[in-house]
Amino acid sequence: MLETERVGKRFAGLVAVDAVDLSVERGEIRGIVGPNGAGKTTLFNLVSGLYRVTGGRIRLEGRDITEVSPHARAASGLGRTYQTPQIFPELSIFDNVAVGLAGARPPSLRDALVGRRRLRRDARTSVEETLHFVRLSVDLGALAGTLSFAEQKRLELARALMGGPAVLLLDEPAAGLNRGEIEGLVGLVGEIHARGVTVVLIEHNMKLVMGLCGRITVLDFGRKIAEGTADEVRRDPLVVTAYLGRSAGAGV
Amino acid sequence: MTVSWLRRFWTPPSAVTIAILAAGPLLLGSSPYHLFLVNTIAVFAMLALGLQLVLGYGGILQLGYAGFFGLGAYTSAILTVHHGWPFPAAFVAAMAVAVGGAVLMSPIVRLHDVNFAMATFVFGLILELVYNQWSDMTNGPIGFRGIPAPTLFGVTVVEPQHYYYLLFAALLAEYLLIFRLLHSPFGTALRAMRENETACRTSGVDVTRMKVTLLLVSSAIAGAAGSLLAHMNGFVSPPTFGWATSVALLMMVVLGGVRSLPGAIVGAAVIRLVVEQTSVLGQHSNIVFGIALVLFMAFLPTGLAGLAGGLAARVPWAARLGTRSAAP
Repeated sequence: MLETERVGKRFAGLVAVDAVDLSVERGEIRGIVGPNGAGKTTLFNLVSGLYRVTGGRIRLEGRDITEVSPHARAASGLGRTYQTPQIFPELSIFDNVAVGLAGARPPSLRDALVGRRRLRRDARTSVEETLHFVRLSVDLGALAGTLSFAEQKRLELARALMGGPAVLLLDEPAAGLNRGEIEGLVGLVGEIHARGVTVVLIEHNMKLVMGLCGRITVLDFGRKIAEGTADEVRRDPLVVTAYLGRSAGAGV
Repeated sequence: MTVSWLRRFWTPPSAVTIAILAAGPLLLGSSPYHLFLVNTIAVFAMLALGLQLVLGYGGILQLGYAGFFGLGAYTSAILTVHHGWPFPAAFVAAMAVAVGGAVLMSPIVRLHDVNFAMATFVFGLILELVYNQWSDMTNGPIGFRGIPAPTLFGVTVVEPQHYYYLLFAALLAEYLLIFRLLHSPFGTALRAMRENETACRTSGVDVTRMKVTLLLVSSAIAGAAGSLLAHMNGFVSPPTFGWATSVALLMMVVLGGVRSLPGAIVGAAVIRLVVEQTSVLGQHSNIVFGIALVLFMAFLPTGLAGLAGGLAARVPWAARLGTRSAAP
């Protein structure tokens, strides 16, 4: 479904992502874990096209998208969220979510000038449905900047879902949420997955990762050091070293 | 969102404004000078609105806008005088040629910030150079004379008070077009783009395409305004389409208030009146403009529209006028 083949990113002298092979199957929930600075978000930025790779290839549903621009990747079924929600604070909640339709139907001059009442009604319906789905019951006309942090994350998720993604990249969806909100999030990710969306998520909350993800990929210093089920990864000596230090790793 | 764009447009202030403008020639009486002044303001208001769209709403620093104004003016003049085209055809061709010029310029949208602004400025300079040097076509610095008054539906629009209505219709049509554009998904994407371009791109918005579209639309507007100016005055010459005009247009947008459509029109009126008053200074009037631009950016960055909004917040009855006319 989503593959990276020896993907790398080098910033001046620093190697942020080093020849990472990743193969996410259709219908998977894949977890990406690793210490801070391991290159997890950089990997997401490469996959979503915000950064250009300095090596390797990226494929989405078998198609090579290495040279494809971010908006075209979004249009061909790649959605994402960010560690700190990237919303449009001065836009209404409705407009924030509606921007997510751009991939499916690029905002064109013609649509703007020829009256398309049905288009507008359809947009409204799907915005309402999506907000209901992510359990955000707020005034559609209110400014997005007035939402709480947790609500902004759900708003961002709603925008990503509007594009009808085949693969959804979630960058630390649980960061900054309280326990109750995390439980809601776990349920939500499960529902998104049940709709047939392949999910890749970066997360530090191990309980969440272990509970949700079938397979887990561990990055450290830009390299993939382990991959497998929760139990396999937990027992991997390299992983223990990466998290707890060398002496602890040697003791296992 | 459910409120249609037209219902947003039709508010008491907009209706009153349109009524006053429609009665314009009656209010001004038959003073040809005042009519000429008002007509010139209308042409520049068209330009200021076009620049507001690309610069104010699109955040694209188009510093060569007057060059496209010139493309429309010369195209219309050459086609009607040398090739005998009727006005409507020449008018459409003027818009098309201006758009063509923008297509030529469009690869520079890949540049960013200052580089982009410099490139548009240079593009404007090149166009001005063409108007000055390509004497066979433009008659060079002497200027192009004898452009006929336009004939529409068998009626030749000669009298300034009649021309006023032609300009009024064009300005209103343009205003409605831009207003509608801003209240469509395209407008939403534009505002989103300004707030967070990265999030826009990963949400599927083709930012480059949006920017090019804006450049093309605003150039079509400049072309239309150029054609209307040429047939109004019967004479065009290169300085009208030079960098000084581009700066004056920039002033109109800044003075009126960035991202305010009524502001652009008010800005055009104020700047044109100032130009008339300072015309005795000749080239030195640019000094006045330069200083005024700096002062405005420093002390009133939101322009007259911002000032009006600020007053509306304090005066209860004015608030009702302010909310509806506020920019989307």
